Amino acid sequence: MSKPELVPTDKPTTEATDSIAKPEGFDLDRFKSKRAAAMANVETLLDALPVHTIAQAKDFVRLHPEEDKYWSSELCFVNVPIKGSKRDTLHLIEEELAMRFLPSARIQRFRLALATKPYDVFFLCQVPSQNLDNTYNASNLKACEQAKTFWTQATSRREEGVEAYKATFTRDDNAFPAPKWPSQSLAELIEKTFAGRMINSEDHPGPAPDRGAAIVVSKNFGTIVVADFEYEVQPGELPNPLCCTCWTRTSATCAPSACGARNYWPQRARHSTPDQILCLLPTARGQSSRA
Amino acid sequence: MVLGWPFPTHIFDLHTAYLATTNILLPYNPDEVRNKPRKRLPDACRAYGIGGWEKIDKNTIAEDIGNGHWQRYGQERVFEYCEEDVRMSVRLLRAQLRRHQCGPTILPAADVPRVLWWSNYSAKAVAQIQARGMPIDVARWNLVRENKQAVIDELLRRFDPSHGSEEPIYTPEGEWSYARFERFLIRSGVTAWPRLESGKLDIDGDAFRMMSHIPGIEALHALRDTLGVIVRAKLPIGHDGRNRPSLFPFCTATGRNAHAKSLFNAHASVRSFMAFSPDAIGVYLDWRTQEVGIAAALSEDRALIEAYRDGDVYHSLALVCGLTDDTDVKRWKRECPDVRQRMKALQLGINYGMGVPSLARGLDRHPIIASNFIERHRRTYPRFWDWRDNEVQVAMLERRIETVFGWPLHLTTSPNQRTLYNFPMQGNGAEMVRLAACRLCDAGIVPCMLIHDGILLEARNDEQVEHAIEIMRKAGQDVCNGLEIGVDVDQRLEHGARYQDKRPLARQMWATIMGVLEAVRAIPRKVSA
Repeated sequence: MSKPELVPTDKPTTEATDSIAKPEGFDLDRFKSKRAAAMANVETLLDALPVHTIAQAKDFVRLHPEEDKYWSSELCFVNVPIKGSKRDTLHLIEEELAMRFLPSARIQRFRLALATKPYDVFFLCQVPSQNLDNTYNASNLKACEQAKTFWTQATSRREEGVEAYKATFTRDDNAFPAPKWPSQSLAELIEKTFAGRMINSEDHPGPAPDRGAAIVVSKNFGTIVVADFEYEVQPGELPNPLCCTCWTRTSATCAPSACGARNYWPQRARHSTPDQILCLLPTARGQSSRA
Repeated sequence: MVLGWPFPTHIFDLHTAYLATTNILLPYNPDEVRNKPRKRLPDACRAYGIGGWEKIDKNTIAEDIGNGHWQRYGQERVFEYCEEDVRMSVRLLRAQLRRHQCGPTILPAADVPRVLWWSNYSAKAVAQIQARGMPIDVARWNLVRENKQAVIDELLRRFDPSHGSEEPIYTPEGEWSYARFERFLIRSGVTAWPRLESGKLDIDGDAFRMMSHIPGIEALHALRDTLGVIVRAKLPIGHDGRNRPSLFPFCTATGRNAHAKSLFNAHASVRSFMAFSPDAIGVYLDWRTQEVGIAAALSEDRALIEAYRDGDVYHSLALVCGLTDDTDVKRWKRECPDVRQRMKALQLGINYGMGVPSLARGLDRHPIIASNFIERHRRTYPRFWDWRDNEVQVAMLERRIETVFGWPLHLTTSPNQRTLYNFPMQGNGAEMVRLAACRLCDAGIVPCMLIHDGILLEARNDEQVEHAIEIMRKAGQDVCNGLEIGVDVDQRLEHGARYQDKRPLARQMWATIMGVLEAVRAIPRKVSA
């Protein structure tokens, strides 16, 4: 191997084989918007919308005036904590599942209405439908109703010591341009908004915190055997087993180190096939076994 | 165990999980006659809304199989029956692992780690203990059964205070009559007896114990418990001479066992039917004043802890109440057994919130004196009283109370406050027994029987006895936040010795039974020295 040649650093090399081309002068025009936001007469399809209350908009708001089309009926929701995320994520949940898996305090019920801030910043507004005796809910609902007609801003009056929202509206009807309501249906907008966040089956990981028991079992036990014996027994004697039935379930996803229940059953019984029921009589009694 | 199969690593006992979910304290209503709800597999399935049992006549088949008549149905039918149970068990398991709502009833998801821990006891330890059983002198037991009427006659003659009167409480066959007992009390001038709120006389063991100061009542109580065994003669004894009672783990509201058909369900006198083989050491170990120790530890009442550590909490209580000024505990215990017995009733009564009238009746003192005793106790152990009240308040708010290791009691509306006062002592006492039983089984020292606050063992040698005492002591410490709960050797039976309870009445009663057998020459007469 030849000795490397030392090159003085103050003397630039003339042959720069891997040199990086000097960038041309900065041209801001390259980033200029040259087209309209949407092609003429073709509106932009709305994607997932934020979901919050009218007060959380912190701005003037209009709600869609057609309540029968753009205000949903009461829906069920649950806030699902997600590891790594600071805030819980709101999920739509089927009422039957919610009732089965969640304590009633965790189930949220409210309506959704299509709403917009000035200049068509759309969102789905949570419209209270429960506990309307509560002054916050009552004043919130009033503000929503008012926002069907006027640009309305709802602000909390907590600092004044009043448990309610204050609904103010613009004096000038034309303070902001009239909203250009999308043509998509409310159902489509909700579907897009809650895509992946709709709990409609038991297997959805959403209500996991409340299915802790099932998860503990499925994560920690490789093989689960449900067994039942039939036996005869005389008073004071030990039971004499007649037969045993086992139902087994083997989890393929289980890490070997976590399988507390491997080699669960002695050689006498066979349970290699998951979800298989087998019966046997102990051969000690001279009876034949059956699989 | 019978098949020689090893225990599974983990057991999820569906029955225990179901008991934990449905251990509910109903509203207090002493006038309502409640049948204990059955909690078998079909009942559990019904609670979780699982149907499908209708087509099978479960009771008949189960009974026939249990009694050895499975051939009536044939192998296939038994298989089908067994498979049906497993299918239902699978559905039940799935239901138990999730929160379940069935109508207005909400059953929470099973707490899996705890159920696995409880199942170690209910499925593994209890199976071993029940299989072991207590050794019985079967020859002597059979002699008593053969001469039953003579034994009953003599016991009634000696111990029934109404014997010979126009209206004896017992029939000649040894059957108890409530109406005659009521009339006996009137005739004897007993003006006060604990009553249920329905107005009926309370004839529970606690009521008899409380009223034991009345002449004849203690003997009548002992007679009642003894005749219960001899008249019915239903001790389950196997061909190997072992009494194997069912322990029914977790079957009481406090989580204690609800064992039945054992010598420990009867009066102490009949425990003398128990005799260990000459090559074994029979020991009955119990925790020293277990309930008071638990109360002291959990309430962290320094005065009560000190009183407990001093060795005899009843002596401390007698000092507090001004019933003695003797500071020598051993001498006081020896010379004043009656006072000690009363202090025992007082302490246990206070533990579960007994009122002044009941306590006055139990102590046979004026209510002012009983009230004074309670007040002195309150001043001496204020922390204990605060803790006890706080436990109940928290339970009422959370609608649930549980032991240190999590055995729950769910509350409905207006529960009996006394049950709540008593729960920490009884529930945690049960935890202590469970913990010790599991550890003893793991150490290969399988108990013969678990009794309230004691364990009966059949050890091979002294090392095993010492090991068992150490295990029990450690279990006491683990439940009681490090406070050492003393373990006493109540009985130590070597060289084939017979169990003999220390209470004089128990000895008298056993001697009477043996006297009858001698008189009919069923056993050789003892030659007096």
